[in-house]
Amino acid sequence: MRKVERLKARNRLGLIFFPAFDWEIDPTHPERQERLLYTRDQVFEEGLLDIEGIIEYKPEIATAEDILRANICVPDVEAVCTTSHLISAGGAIRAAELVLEGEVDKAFAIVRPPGHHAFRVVHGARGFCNINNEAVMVEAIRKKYPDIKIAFVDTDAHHADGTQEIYYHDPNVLNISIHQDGRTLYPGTGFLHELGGPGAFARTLNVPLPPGTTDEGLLYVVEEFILPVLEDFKPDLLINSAGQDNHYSDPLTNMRVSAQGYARMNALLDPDLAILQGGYSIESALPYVNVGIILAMAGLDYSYVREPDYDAGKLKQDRAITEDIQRKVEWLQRIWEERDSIDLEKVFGKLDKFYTRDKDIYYDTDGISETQQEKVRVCPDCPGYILIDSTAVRSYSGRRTRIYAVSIPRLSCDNCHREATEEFEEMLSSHRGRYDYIYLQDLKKDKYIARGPF
Amino acid sequence: MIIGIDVGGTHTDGVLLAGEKSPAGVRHEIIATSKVRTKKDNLMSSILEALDVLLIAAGKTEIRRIVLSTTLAANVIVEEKYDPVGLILIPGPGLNPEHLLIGEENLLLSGYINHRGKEVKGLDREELLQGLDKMRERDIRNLAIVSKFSTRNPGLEEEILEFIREKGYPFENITVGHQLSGRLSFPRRVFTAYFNTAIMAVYRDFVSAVKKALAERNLDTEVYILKCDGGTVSLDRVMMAPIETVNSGPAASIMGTMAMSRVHLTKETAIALDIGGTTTDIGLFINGEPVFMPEGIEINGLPSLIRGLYSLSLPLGGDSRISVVEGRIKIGPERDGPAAAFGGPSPTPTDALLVLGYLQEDPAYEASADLQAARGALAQLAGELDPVGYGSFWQDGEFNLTGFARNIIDLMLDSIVGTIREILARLENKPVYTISELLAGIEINPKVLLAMGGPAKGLSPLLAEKLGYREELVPYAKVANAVGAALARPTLQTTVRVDTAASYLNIVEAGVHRKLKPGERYELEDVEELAITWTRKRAEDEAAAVEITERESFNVIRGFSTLGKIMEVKAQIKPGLISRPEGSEIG
Ligand SMILES: [Zn+2]
Ligand SMILES: [Zn+2]
Repeated sequence: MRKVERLKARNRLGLIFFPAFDWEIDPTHPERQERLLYTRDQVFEEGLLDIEGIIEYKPEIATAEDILRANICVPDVEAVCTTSHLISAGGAIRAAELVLEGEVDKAFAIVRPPGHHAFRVVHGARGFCNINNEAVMVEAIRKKYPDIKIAFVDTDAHHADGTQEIYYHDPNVLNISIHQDGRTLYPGTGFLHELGGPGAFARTLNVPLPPGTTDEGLLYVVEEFILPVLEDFKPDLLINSAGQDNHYSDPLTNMRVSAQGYARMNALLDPDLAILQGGYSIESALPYVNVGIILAMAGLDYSYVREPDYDAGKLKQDRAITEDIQRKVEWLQRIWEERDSIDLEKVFGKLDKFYTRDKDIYYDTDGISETQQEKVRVCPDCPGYILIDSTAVRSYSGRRTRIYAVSIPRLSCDNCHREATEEFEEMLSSHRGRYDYIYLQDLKKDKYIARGPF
Repeated sequence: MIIGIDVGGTHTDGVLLAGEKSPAGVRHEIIATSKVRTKKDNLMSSILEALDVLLIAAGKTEIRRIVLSTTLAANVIVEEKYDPVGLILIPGPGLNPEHLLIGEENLLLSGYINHRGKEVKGLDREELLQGLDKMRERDIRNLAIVSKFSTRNPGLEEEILEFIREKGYPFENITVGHQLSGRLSFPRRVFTAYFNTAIMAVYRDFVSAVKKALAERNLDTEVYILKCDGGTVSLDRVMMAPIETVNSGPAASIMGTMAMSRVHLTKETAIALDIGGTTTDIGLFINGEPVFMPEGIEINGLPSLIRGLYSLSLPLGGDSRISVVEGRIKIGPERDGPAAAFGGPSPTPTDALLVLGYLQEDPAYEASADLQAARGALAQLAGELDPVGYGSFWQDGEFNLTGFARNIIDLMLDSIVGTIREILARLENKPVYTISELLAGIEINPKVLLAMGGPAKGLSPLLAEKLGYREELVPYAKVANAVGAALARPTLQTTVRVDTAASYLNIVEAGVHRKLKPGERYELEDVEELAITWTRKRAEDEAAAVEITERESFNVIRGFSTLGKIMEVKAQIKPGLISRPEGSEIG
């Protein structure tokens, strides 16, 4: 027998693979039982689980309280969240725990359904997401590590609007999203000027890429912009929200990234965690992209991973696209450099006690239109607290639900905490007539109260 | 009558069983046993020696069945006593194939079958021709041909085989990957195919030598070989995949435990312990059935597709050397010889058991044990012990030998108990892929400890107490392996895959891969039926009890239309006994 070196991962990689083969949104929905079937077959056939240092783990099942730390569910967790969501979120939590406890160097949660389109307030499902599995994970981590610095690099083709919204005012979470330009794709957001609230300016960074962007454009953004930003921010935990719908074969998007591009990007980013988000070219892309990411994260040779129909000649990037990306990167680089010296009142206008945003949120999956006003307390000592007034209308039944919510972050100052709880009491005693439900999400005291229906 | 012969590393054991019909079925009784030294370079002579003793005991009674559990395959592989093997691989894109090139000659070909079994890229005939010519020039006679996803479509492997026949290449032993197993794993398929080819020549000689020996003895008995999944394969069929018979020792032991205990009848979940001189082998029964290893066994340090019964060997036995290292007690992993009580040079756990009086009722030990030697050997260690950690063993300057012996035994017990708990935890944490399985959870709660082996009598009550199990001593450990081999049933696995969207049908282990005919329809039940039928057909046993072990079914949807279904079913004839010997009355 010829002596060969047995493969050994340079990074110990924990794999939480949970394809939920018995769960679907509905039989023909992209989130159907078949989604990760071919990925499983490819991973098994390549023998990845036999490689020393690649270890498979079961997901946890997140609890209702885990969900409540991230999402305010209307009317309650049970109504918007199935077991599959609890497992997907639990998979992300498990991945983070494995890394933070030093059991593995890195972890990849290949779980479904995704979560990055779920906002803080959840009236139903949007963009195939009900609850935000990444935010649930972050809040689970912060129970143990309250001031941990976290960076998300979301490489799904769709803007990570939910994760952005939840952490828009949180200076400890850097949220970078690379995606197909919102003018050409759901959810229609994620533009350059969305940069975070006054207390977390430039902690939200969006890189909208033109349709037709290839590996070249994606890797350019990573090397020229994201890596230097991460170098400055120095996160304690770097997470790749590994959506795979930038692939050239994806049926829902118009991008042209290959499995090699995804693998190389992960090698460059070198994230602690990767969490699968979207990606619906289940047969032609996912098997190869996932194998590429696993190998790259484990520090193994991924240069042989190729789609059977891969043709480098066909995946050349247009000059116009390259130039467009260069301009955006330049603009963002300037913002990043000036982030601490910028005059916030020039950006946000006169900053009073509260900074207010109005949002219209459409739930494509469930056909719900939500209008929301979000007021964040501008506080020199803490990230402030958030007051939300939200009305959802179901397009089929026309049923309206109006809720009020007070959300207090874990690191809020005592003064803000007192103000916020008084606000909650006041709303309950004097204004309940206007609302169907009133919620308190108090991360500082780890207390979650729902009142109603009134 | 039935004969079982187990070739072990040092001894070859044989057993002659006589069957007797009773209302409860056939019961077997041990009529005779034989034991000879194993001659490593001539296993055949050891087998025949053991056999002939039993044949004399059998006299004129007809021998209905002979089963051999042999280390032949393992020896050939470990000692590399085989001619060079050429590997032909068609890896396609994916992992860098460098780590798979274990052949004495390796040929990487272009071509690719994808995960749906679609031939994305065909062979390059010129490349193939040149590669094969080179193998011929180098006088390669053995060949293993493996393509990625050949379980989904064996087309490329078969095309090469056809090409070789057409051109008349002089290869003598050839393995094609897809017939070895229905499981996915290209690396395991490559390694398994390599080893299968490697042992073919030696195995063929062995089969004819057995046939010749039987003819010389005027026997026309069916001969079977034990596989490492606890099942048997007939001499006539073993050449289809001789690698399945590698490392059958642990399977013989587990089937022996099954035969000699009541676990199969009571259908209890049990831990089986075989405590020997240098090792303790741990096996597992769930509801009376032996458990398979979650993955295939390792062969020569490489992972394979061969199913094996779950068995874990701890380097800890009755004769393990006890030493003191940096002031602390250490047991094993070496054996210096027998226990000090039996003339050995070092103290051992057996000595500790004797000092504690735990082996006294065992006549095998009572007669010849030198208790003074045991005490002396243990006492010699006292001076080296860390006076802080082990200070409590001295009282008024007197060394508490009994306390020390008990401490040694506790250490050994803790190590075994810890390993058992680890095994159970590992099986319980096995990943699952459906919500219903995840919610149901896996819980393995053994109720019984089945113990055999020399020191078992002393150790098993203590172990059972620590684990909270009921203890059951299994008699006749020395011939249990041979009994296990003798009474094992044939086993077989079939994987049927129907992809109605791609319109093909695959009976993997049988090498069937064909387009569906017009109008040919399948639902999951039909695929199950097919798997059962084919398992019986391949086993040449129309009445065989076949169980479905895995089934899955997925709708294939593109856009908004359902193109068809992918269904895969695995069926097996599980390991079991043709009958069991009568418990305590065997003599
Ligand atoms: Zn997406
Ligand atoms: Zn404050």
